[in-house]
Amino acid sequence: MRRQRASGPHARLLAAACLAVALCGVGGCTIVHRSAGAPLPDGVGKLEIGRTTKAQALASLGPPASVRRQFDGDLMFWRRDELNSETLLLIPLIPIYERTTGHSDTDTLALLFDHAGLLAGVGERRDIH
Amino acid sequence: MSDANAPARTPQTRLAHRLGLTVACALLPCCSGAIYSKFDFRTGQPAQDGTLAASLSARVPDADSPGARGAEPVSKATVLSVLGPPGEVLPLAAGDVFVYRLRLTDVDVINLNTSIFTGIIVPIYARIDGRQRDRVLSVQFDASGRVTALSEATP
Repeated sequence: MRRQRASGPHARLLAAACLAVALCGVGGCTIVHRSAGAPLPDGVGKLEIGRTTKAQALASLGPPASVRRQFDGDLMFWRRDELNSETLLLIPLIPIYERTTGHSDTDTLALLFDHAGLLAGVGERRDIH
Repeated sequence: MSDANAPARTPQTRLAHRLGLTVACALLPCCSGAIYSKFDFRTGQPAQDGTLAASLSARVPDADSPGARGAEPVSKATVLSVLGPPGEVLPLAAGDVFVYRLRLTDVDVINLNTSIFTGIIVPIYARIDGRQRDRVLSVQFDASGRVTALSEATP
């Protein structure tokens, strides 16, 4: 008995579809996670506007990442940056499609000190989850 | 089971199919040695809460009629507590500016070349479409740390 092959148009279409899916499925994914700076210090709640001195804040929170001189005092920043990106690369035979999405988030604490060295204002923002 | 409706495959058609496939594979890197790349990136601080900015704006005294708006001046400490730490601090001749900026970058790149096939980069076609949108809120202070102007720009 002669062996018969499934070579109808449906079988060929199915084979072509499987091949297309397999080829498109070849790819890669790159995930980049980068962070800079130390996590924001705890103890912000202990700070009191008009009472906490610059020396007390430094002792409690550690050294700031940056200091900006202002006309009405000094602005100190504690900061942590995080960069996240994901790249999807599809390589059927050659790299054809690449998509990268990313975002950078920042946790920042800013303390404003007046000329007398007393805490005048606090700004805090936490975007890193 | 044979398909009676299937077209007959003569040796010539088989040869033509193989030849076509070979030519297509050979030309593919040249034609679609293309890399399509898309980049979406967000940097800076998320969009400011419009209500917070609006409430702050309402308290900023009008330069033309100082008594008309804002019973009391808005201090730098208030701005810090309402809007959070600024992304940038710019010095002025007699004051400072806090800048809050959200930047959205969107780039599409189409790059056709022969590098993968030949090992030599021969550019065929390249196109880069880039868009950068900034949402900026700037708060200007005088030398005593009081808000004198507040402006917002959205894409």
